[in-house]
Amino acid sequence: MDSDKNRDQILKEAFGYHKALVAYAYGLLRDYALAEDAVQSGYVALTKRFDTISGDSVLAWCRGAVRLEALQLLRKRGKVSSLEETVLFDAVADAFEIEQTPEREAMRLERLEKLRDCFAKVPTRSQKMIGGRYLGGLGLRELALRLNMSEAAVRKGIYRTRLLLRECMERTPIAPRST
Amino acid sequence: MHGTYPNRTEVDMNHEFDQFFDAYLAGELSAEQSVDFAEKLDSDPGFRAAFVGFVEESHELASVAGEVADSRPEKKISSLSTSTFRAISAAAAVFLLVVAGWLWWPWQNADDPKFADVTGEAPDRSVAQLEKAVGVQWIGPVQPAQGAALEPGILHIAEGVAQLEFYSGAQVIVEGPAEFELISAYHARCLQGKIRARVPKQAQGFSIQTASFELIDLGTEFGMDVSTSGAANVRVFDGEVELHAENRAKQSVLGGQAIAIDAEGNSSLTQNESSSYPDFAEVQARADSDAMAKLERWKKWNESLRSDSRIVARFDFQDRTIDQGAIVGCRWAEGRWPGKGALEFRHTGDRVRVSIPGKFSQLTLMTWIRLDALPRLRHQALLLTDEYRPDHIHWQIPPIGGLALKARLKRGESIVKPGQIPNVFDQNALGVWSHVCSTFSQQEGMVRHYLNGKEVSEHVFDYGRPLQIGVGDIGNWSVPAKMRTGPGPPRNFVGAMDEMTIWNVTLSPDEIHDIYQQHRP
Repeated sequence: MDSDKNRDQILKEAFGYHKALVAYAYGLLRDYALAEDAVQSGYVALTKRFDTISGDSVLAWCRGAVRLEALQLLRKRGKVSSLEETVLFDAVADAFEIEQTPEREAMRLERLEKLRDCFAKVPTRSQKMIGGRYLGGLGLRELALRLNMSEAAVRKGIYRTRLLLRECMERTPIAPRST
Repeated sequence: MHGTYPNRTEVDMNHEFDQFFDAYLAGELSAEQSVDFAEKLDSDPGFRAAFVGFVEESHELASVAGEVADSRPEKKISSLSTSTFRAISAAAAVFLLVVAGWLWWPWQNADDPKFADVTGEAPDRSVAQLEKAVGVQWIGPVQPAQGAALEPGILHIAEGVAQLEFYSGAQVIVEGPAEFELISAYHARCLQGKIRARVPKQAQGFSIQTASFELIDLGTEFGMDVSTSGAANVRVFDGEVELHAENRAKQSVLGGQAIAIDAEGNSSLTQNESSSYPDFAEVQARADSDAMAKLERWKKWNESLRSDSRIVARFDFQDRTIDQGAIVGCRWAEGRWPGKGALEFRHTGDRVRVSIPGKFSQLTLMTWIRLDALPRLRHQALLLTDEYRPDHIHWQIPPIGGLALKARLKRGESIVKPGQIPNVFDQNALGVWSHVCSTFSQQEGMVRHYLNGKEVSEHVFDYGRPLQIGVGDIGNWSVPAKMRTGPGPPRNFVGAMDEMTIWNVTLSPDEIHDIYQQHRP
């Protein structure tokens, strides 16, 4: 029973880091769908080897599993083959390991709520730019074609939308939650 | 991002960082840049924190964008659920669904003015609306139509009376000769002319500047008569205003008082103020009378067209009947003037079925329309032939407010240039009656487009054959059942139409301008 309880607690905590892990994988893979795959595979590894995790390093352990999956996915696709790519991959992974903490994760919910509010105020074209770029993984050229704009305008539009979203989030109070 | 993405405050405003990060995410870094990027991640804590914040933010944006797309009640979700994508993982399926949802999103209007210019969409700069224009002779390039939104700028009026409604709620009548500058919803400048302003409580603080003083309203109704020298008379009919002149104490003027101000800003109360000011009721009466006169003139012209043998079809949408077509859906509404009929197109199926036989080496298509929407992704039909077979015309408003007259080519042909111009209509055209005309001349090989009596574009249209109309729709498109391509895309017009005329000749620019001038609202 204790073992089961420990397993449940670890899994619960690990699943609580789902978004952080997807962001981490996205940083490594630069592809949203692949990032989801890497995290799913990481969770599969976790369920098989949860007994190797100590309670205070769940996030780090999961990141390690995701990093491994991400590396395998990239190698399958012939990426991370050069020295520069390997150096970059490691540097990005290290950056997340330094910056991404459980404390930071605790703020994510608040950030997301603000972002939802602010994103709803953005014109649909801006939403499409953001969705196309980061959700759909479209390049600037493809986005520009779809939106009948120049690449420069798309690049500028994305930048300015992000800037305004940040400003909006700065001044957006947290709305009281309904019960 | 302070309070949201920790440790990013110093770099948030740094576009180069964001571009660098974005280039990384897009896989656009060169080998050299990759090494540089890795080194900065290792050595620069600010850069590193900013980068992680940027990636997390990108991920969260993707997540929120997905939620928004998911919340759209689009049919595409059900169509995808039957696709082969069902077999892949749940996460990937959700991803594909939201991307599909994104791809099918209909365009919407911007919601928050603060965000309106980030994408290059034209922001709404208007500060007032031209409510009435009675006998107005405009001078210069700014010649707004009645109902038009007005952006900051100077209105020059040679004669006549214009009634403006500022978005603050202030109403101002300007009587020519006048030079009146709109600055904002709360501020204007009068360099010459008579005005009368009615300022509700909500617009308190509305101010009008002259060459010698500024008048700030405290919730009232007042008149001003400003001469070119800068001298002015002010009469307060009700409430209170404040006058501010340079190097002089402010002066309050109360209801019933009149004041004279010289060109230097010296003011004095006067009992003998002789200016007469325009009156709101009088302007309304003049507008009614003006509209009636225009309607009568139009009726005579309309009657005269009955004997015009050049006309192959005319829909005057008067008297709630039409002779040459069948109305499907639609709603009768008021046209350019009270007493003038119009047909309103609201629903997807609204249309007028027409049959116009013949082949035309020359054509003039003319209509008065009130656009109520400018969809960003689809065409709006003015007159579309059913099958769009070779030689048959499509006259329509393409996305983003263009104007197009096209005819389908025969198989293998590719030399005809499309008679299409973008950006004829913008948001200022919404809710305003616009005169739209397109002409075709086979002999010249030209298509010309006109808006409000002025030519806006001409296109080489070396068609080489006469055009046809045949069976078609006004305000919509009926795709015949026999077409193998299945249902056509929606083309329904959203707005009102208060006449449409088709001539078998190419009217001259002067004729078109004259018709517009004679019968404009």
